[in-house]
Amino acid sequence: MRMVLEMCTVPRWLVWVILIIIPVTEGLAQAQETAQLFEQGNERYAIGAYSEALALYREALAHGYVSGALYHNMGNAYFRQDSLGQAIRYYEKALRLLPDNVQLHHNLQIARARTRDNFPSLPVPVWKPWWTRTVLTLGALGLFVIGLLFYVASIGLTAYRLRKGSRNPWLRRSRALTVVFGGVFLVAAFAASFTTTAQNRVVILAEEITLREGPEPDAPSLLTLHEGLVLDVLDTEATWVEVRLPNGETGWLSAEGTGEI
Amino acid sequence: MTTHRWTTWLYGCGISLLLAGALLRPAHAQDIKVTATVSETTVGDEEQVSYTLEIEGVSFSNIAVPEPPEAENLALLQPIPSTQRNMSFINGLQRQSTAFTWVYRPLRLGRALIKPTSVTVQSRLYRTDEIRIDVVPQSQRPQRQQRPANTSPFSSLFGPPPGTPPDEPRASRIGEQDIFIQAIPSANEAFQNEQITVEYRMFFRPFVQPRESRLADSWDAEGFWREELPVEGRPIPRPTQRNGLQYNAITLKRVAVFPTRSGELRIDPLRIETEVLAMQSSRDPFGRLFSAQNPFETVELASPAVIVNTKPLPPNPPAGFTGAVGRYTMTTEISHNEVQVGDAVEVQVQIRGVGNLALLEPPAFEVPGVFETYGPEVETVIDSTSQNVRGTKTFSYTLVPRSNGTFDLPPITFAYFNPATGAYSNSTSDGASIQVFGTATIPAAISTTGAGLPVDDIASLMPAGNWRVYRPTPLHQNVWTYLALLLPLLMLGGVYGYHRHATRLATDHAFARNRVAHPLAKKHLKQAQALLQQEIPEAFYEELERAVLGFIGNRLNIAERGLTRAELDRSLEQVNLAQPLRQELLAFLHTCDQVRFSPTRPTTSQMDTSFDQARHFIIAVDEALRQQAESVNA
Repeated sequence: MRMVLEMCTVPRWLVWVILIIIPVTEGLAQAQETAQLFEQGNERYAIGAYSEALALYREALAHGYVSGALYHNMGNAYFRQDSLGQAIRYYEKALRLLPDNVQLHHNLQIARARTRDNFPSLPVPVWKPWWTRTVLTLGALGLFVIGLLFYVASIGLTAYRLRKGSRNPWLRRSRALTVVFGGVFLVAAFAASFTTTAQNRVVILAEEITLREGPEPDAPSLLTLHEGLVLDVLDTEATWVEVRLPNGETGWLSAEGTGEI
Repeated sequence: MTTHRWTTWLYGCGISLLLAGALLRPAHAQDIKVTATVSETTVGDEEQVSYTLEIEGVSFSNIAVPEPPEAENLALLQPIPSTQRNMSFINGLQRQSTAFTWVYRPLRLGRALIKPTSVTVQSRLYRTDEIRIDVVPQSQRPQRQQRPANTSPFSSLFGPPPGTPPDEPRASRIGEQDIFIQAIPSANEAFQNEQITVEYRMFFRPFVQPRESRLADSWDAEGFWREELPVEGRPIPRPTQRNGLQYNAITLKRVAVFPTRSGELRIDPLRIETEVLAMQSSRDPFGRLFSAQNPFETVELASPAVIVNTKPLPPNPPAGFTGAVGRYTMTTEISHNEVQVGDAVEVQVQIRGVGNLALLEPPAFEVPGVFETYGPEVETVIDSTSQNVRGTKTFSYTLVPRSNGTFDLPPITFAYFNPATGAYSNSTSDGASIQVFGTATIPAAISTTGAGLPVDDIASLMPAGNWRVYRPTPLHQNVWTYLALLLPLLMLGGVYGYHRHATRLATDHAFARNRVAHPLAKKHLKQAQALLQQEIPEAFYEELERAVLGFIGNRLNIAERGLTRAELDRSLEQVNLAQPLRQELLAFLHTCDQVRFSPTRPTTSQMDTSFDQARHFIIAVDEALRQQAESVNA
């Protein structure tokens, strides 16, 4: 950089402006190209060329941008190709970005209805749906931003009190509220981030896969699971994943027949 | 073997057919004559009555087989009549007649009635009158006259058949060895679903002539799937020998059976009723001439039951095995390899061979999702003319591509069990490739939900939404998260530090002067350097004096204005500044005063030397004060 500054006769501020503008314009171009690939994929899908549509969607993903619509449409293309596991996988990915989308819920329901496995689910704690909905709606980042705003506000009020030496009771109450809210949202943000990371899920992509007692091919088999079943990941070991079924039963699966969500 | 007592008794009594009514209704004066008779008009409630419709004067081919007449209080035992054709020449004229006979059984005591019936002869309709019959208790029936024993001198050779009751009025002239049915299975042991052929053959001696056979009881083979194999409608007896005796044999029935479960399975006996003519002439050339009996007997024959031991199929069948047992080959055929989008492609999977073809399930056929698949339509063609059930079963799939491109149809594997080798086998077809051209329009959904979404199908594509940068790093692993939290804290710390600093500056005068000592000294030195370059000695030395005295005053927190050299010296002595340095400082200050108020101008080198001295004094004083502060703290 210094060499550039020394060699060029352009003003130093102009160099900085260019250095800031270039990444921004590059990012905009990438986003625009992603959108174009997405539209081209939709056009191929519309004429039934699902494989080509998927190739374009994947290329769009490679640009580093995601959207709920992109995941949803990938799920549609896989569904039309009878790849039920992949369809459910991308519908679930889309659900993270579009938690309230009716069309997405409909498609996911249609895809789930075609799976062979139907395990009863364990009872869900009362707080779990509320928490899940909050995390789906705001996300860890949203919670963090809200918490950060309260946090900065509390810092500002403290600094104000320090500088001005004010003993105003409203200032004190406001500061206490911002501290409480900021703390709650920041803790929730970290909790959401941890749980989202730790709560990995996989979907079975193979037509059939055997659930075993241990992470070895010759471990006793427990069940035969089928394509499209979504499972919670408890642990991983080499090419094996320990999963929990919706009914709470656990076992090991070969990771080759699964896809992360 | 069972004989019907009423027929033998009837003929034994020499009673011919009894004309029961004014039966003649000749439609015209030709030689055609239709008569209806019954065996008896008064019968016991345990007896049977036969109804005979005889047509004379016309050949059998000109007669439409009549329907059995309806009856009241009588039950028809068999809908198909027994037919008897006779031909004779009287005075050079040919006479031929045909008789149709049905057998009835009384239902209850009292009056019975056989209603009028009709028969079509040479396209003309002939009708008979009704015949009334009295049904009386069997005890009121006269004792049947016993047939004269052994009317033939050689009839003693034929004893009564075993099992004949002692009070049997007549003994059969047919022995058990003279006519019988044998069931001949192709095997008595088989795998499950393996084909077994059972053939029922009737053997009869050359002097025994059977006619008009019919099933006497239902035939069943529980636990088997069955496929009837055809037999000759008019079988030609084939001479054969059994146990040293000459027999004729005809095939009555052939059936292929497939055991559907393992274990010991039983095939019921085949029971038939047949009329048999025992040609006594074979033993007694004159017996028939002198015998008043009707030479035909109705006998019931039964084959032995067939027991089949069925073995289960070996364990661990290959993938795709659905129970096919036999010897098969599979071929596949595709109608087109290049089609337009929306056009149909027919794929035929044909399985050919010997075995349980009718039970074959379609083999697994994984069609790419781009094809809409219809079918399979199943066509089974069984060739029953051979000894076993063989043929082809064709599964026809119709594929309609909904997208263009080149698509591979995977190979189809058909697994079956071959009983000949006792092992499972596979027949795998080659894969195929279909090239699809053109484009297609997606048909609209037929029905939609309340939300406008298709029923039982996924909704269409979503338009582009908000694009987000993909963030694979979770929040808690992102360094910006912690920087964002740390930065406000640092700012707060800065505010706090500034606040404390400002407060101290405001309240601690010595601290405040100490804080400004260095900056002020630097400022005066900088100005002095500028004056040095401008070569203004008075102002230069004045700035040097201000820099040195101001620094000392600020650092020692003493007022430099009005400060005498002696007071200055004492103050510097208190901070342990060395005596020689103090002397030099005083001399330096003296030089400054001298230059400022003297007319002589110093040289530039002298000014440079003075500048360096001023910096040296400032540094020395600052060092002395620091050492003093450290010694105090220590």
